[in-house]
Amino acid sequence: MKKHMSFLLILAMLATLLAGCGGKPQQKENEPDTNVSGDNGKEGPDEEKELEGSTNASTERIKIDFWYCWGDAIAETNEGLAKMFNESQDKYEVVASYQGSYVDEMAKLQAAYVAKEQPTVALNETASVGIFGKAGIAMDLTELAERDNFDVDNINAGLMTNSYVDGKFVAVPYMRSIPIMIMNATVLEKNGLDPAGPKNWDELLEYGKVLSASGITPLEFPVTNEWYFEAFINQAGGSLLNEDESAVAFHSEAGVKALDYWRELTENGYANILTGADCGTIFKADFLSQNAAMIMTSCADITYFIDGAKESGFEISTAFLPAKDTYAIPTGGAQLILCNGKSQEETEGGWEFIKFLCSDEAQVYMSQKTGYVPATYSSVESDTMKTFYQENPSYKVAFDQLEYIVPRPLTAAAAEAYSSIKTMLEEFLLDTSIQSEDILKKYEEICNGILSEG
Amino acid sequence: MRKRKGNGTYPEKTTPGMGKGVPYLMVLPSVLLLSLCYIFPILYMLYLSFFKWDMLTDMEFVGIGNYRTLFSKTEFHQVLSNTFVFTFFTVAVALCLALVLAVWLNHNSKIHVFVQAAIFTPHIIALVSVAFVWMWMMDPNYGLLNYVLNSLGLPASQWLQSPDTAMTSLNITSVWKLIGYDTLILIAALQSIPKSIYEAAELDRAPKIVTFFKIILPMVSPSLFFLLVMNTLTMFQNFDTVAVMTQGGPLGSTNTLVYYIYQNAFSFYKLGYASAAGAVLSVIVGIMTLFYFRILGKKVHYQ
Amino acid sequence: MNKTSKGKKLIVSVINVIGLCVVAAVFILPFLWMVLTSVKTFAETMTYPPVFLPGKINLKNFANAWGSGPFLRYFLNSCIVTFAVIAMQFLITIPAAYAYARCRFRGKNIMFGLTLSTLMIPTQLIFVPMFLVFSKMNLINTYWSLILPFCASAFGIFMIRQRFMQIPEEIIEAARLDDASELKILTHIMVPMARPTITTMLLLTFISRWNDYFWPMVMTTKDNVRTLAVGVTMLRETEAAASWNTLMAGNVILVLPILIIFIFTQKHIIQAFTYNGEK
Repeated sequence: MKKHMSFLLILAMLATLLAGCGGKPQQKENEPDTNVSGDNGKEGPDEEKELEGSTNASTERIKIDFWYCWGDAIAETNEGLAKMFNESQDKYEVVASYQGSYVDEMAKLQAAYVAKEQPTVALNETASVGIFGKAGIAMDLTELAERDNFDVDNINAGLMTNSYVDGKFVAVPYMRSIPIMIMNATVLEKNGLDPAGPKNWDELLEYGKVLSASGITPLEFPVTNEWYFEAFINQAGGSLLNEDESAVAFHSEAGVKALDYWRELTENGYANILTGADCGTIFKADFLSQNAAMIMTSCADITYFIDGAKESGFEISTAFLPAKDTYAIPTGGAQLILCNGKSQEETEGGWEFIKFLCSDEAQVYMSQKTGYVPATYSSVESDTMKTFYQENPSYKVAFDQLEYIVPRPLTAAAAEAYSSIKTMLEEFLLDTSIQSEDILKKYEEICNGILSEG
Repeated sequence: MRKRKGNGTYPEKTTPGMGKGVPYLMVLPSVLLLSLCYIFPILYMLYLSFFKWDMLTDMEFVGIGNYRTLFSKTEFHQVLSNTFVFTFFTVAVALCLALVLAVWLNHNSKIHVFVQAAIFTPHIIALVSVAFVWMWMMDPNYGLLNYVLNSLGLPASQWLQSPDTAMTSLNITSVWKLIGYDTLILIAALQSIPKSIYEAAELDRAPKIVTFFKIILPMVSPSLFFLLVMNTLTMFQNFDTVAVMTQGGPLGSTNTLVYYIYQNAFSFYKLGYASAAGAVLSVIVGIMTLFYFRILGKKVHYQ
Repeated sequence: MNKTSKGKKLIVSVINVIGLCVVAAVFILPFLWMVLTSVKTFAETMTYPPVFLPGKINLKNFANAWGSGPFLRYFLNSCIVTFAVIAMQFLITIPAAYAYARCRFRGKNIMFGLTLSTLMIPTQLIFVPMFLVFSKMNLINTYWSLILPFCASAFGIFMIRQRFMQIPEEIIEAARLDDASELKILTHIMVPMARPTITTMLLLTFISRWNDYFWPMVMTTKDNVRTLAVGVTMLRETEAAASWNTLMAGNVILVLPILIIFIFTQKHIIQAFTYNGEK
């Protein structure tokens, strides 16, 4: 008897589940079924939309899917901005949803586009814009921008260099990050050093000498990717890739200078350049526990370090990455794209949302909450931002640095070549018998092989 | 349904008591689902491996080009050897330790049952969680492990930070996760050995070590074999620990096959190339399984 | 003579108990460390030698973690997906295992081989084609995309088949003589006799579904069907700095439900494993 009961129970449970699973779960009644409209869009994009438009617009809001990467403060910011946008008008409803890391999101966006499940607006890692632009996922925004008098010139010119693919305007810089120097001002002052930080490579050596004598690691930064090498080689007047991204350019005088300088820093104990999977966490811990006096890190971390330093009881200051021949700052972070293949209305809504994200209000909110640089000139000039910078000068350094940024390469092959460059740096740092000239030559061959394949 | 025939006289291809179609009905849902969700994607992957494709632009037929590039790359050789090293050491260490623990813990007293439960706990926890906890403990400056090593007067380790120790760190984490399941299965096998056999050995005054090799080991060999196959399959397909703890680094020292495939497909947009690597993975796993069943399977002692 | 051997026995058993405690510690301490870290402040995690007990219990980490998404929804979704998979497996794998164990039919070996071969396929290799298939079937962002691929477990079919094969033929013959239908034989004889194995399989399914992060992450694009594992992993996926204390708080949220279930049912779980002679 008992056995029968349990069997029946399982059957009943199953039946309810099946019933529950039958439809799309969680589509609340008052929300339009986005999937239906999406499917119609596949067959006859244009006529369908107009029909829908006439029925939908008056009664229900049009849903705009917006994908973003990363959780935590970044997620909060994106969700918060979506909410602000939804409250600011009653035509569209942006549904922001988290999609994992940059790589997770890129993989999913590719699959989703092929499957016609793509969102209207997506936030992508900067370099992936290249492939999405070429493949036609990212919509050419030129017409929309012209029609609405969208002020492209208001967006930071340096950041805009990554917005064009084959001459088409396909991406809007939004959560862009750049590296900066963050320093333990308390420790620097105690050692008689200017808390404004070293301005160039020679001064950095001076700082190293003084700080290492007092028993603290002067400088730490991680080799989680090619970022800092890109900074140093550009400071020395070189670059990682040639102009059209068809071959590498790091096997050069500047490349040798950069690596030799790294060796000088590490051999004298002036810097600890970390490798390994969680080196990105370790150097941050070292800084906050005051084992390292200066670090190079993403500007997206400023808020985190200000809070952390407060908890650990010291002051921080920020500075440009030191210059050699020139200042040079690589960039990272993400850009917004508007996906092709959505209905006219969704596209319009997505574009409205992108324009909203470029507004001063949104840019200021985003920048203050995360530390990412504001991408528009007017937002920096706004009163809120001015006061904010006055009270928190640390944030301003990041923005000032934008003048010196190096554009990111946009081809898929470049992404793979960059991962090889990371391996090169690890090899160089782990084995001190390796000469800079030799390793640059070795990896020049490897990377050019990758680039010619792609 | 056809009427059942007399006992023992049923024809070769049918089962007594049911019509011809019934067995098919019983296996059909599983066969359909597995074909749709596993077999079809794998065949599709095989097909893709002959193309150059980034999912978005048009496919380009390249014949065996992807395979040629694959085998000519030293990087891929390293990935292959990493995968074998990782699988071999994790499985070997886990099985040996599990055997020792199983013999040791094969009692029903409270403390033994408690320890059984304790070592089984990691098995029920998500691999990503396990990976994060160990990563934190392996932090070279603030981690628990180096603190313990130092307190015992041993030198600290760089753990995941150095290419020399990163693979071992992954092995440790995986063994820790795996061993509870293995031990319980082996305890189960030990408990199914009839008491009379132990008693006979005791009467013969056979030394414990002889009892172990002459009696226990052969008696648990089917379970051991089962674990060997299952552990090898899961470890060969390991993804989570690499993705969370090392991302294949440092210096590619922990890049294993599934992670390499994922990375090539979605960070480098080389779907065809990644599919070729996937095909190689499938072939290797197939050969290993065949080898296990053909060679080792025969040596296993069935009761 | 007697006394010394008694003394020796005592020493051996003391050593034995100490050894057992060390083994238990190796497996419990990491969890304890996780919980302790989750209630520390950031500064407390960044000290060497490490602080073992936090100054005061800091629950802010948990509030941060829980407030970062619709966690109740995630939790419900986890329950729905996990139990649906278990129920479906129950209905699909048992008949299949029975057929493979007890029936003769053309193509049996091929189909069984095909079933087993799916054990060799990691989900990381198949998610792209599956995403395309599911989207053709309009199943993206439904529970089905999270349930269907796991309804027929090759491992489960294999294990239950092994168990069914061990059940003596005489019992079945006897039932047949009593004119019991095959269905009755399956539900009244086979399933009850294989109950420990079936329970074990379903438990393993529960564990793997509850903990799975990768599949729900890549198959869903919206929060409404996402599971707890995805929600928790979201805490760690941050481009800015991650701190160990918040990470561990997220971990605790994911681990706790399953750990509590385990603590209360461990006796049965361990028994399910150990007293049925899985082979």
